[in-house]
Amino acid sequence: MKTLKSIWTVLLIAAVVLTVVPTTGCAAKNPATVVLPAGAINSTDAKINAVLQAGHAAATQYITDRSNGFTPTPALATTMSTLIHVLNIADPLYQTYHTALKTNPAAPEPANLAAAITQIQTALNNIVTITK
Amino acid sequence: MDFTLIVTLITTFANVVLTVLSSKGIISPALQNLIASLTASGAALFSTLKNGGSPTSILTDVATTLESDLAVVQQDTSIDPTITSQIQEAIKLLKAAIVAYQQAELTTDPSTLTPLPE
Repeated sequence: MKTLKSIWTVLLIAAVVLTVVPTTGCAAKNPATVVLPAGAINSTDAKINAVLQAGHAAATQYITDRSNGFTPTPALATTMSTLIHVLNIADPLYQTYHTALKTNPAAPEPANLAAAITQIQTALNNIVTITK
Repeated sequence: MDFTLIVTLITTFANVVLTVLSSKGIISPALQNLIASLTASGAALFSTLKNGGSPTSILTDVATTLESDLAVVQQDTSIDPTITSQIQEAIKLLKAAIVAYQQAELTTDPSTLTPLPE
């Protein structure tokens, strides 16, 4: 049983790193060298898109695996349900914000979009910690 | 911050722990390989961060390594397959997220964000 606990510890630590590092990155270390992705208006626009794309990828993978017979723990099912629900709320908010940035690059990020992004990041981290 | 020192300390500590636990028969050879892979991946990740590079490419490598090592662990019949399937799913979801994040570092295209079935 100690071996099993060790597996969980190692995998959880590694997986938390997998989710936390991509959303923090190290762009702030040297902002002068940051290159925006093609199509991005500014760094906030790029970051929001990246988080949403990551959330969509995880959700799509989960939906596919469910249809192929994977049975999640109740906690994972709840987390993924929340993730999908928040993504469906955040997507149109972000698309409207992205369009607004094209005419006003200084447009502030809507508060409800920022809150949704935080929820998505939390859900991605929870995939690891509640799978157990 | 001196990442090299941190990596050295982590690696040394991990090797000591591995040696002690494996000598007592607590860690299976499969798990020992898994931890060794993670230690090496962690060192590579710290090195990437230290040099100011994007960590997402090395993270993809870590996820791939985890998948292959997990396949070995799953052959251990003493471990409940239900548990390893949950671990496997977590790795798959995170890997998918990282790959998408990597792609988003190159292109921002909100039109690809379509409603998901709830």
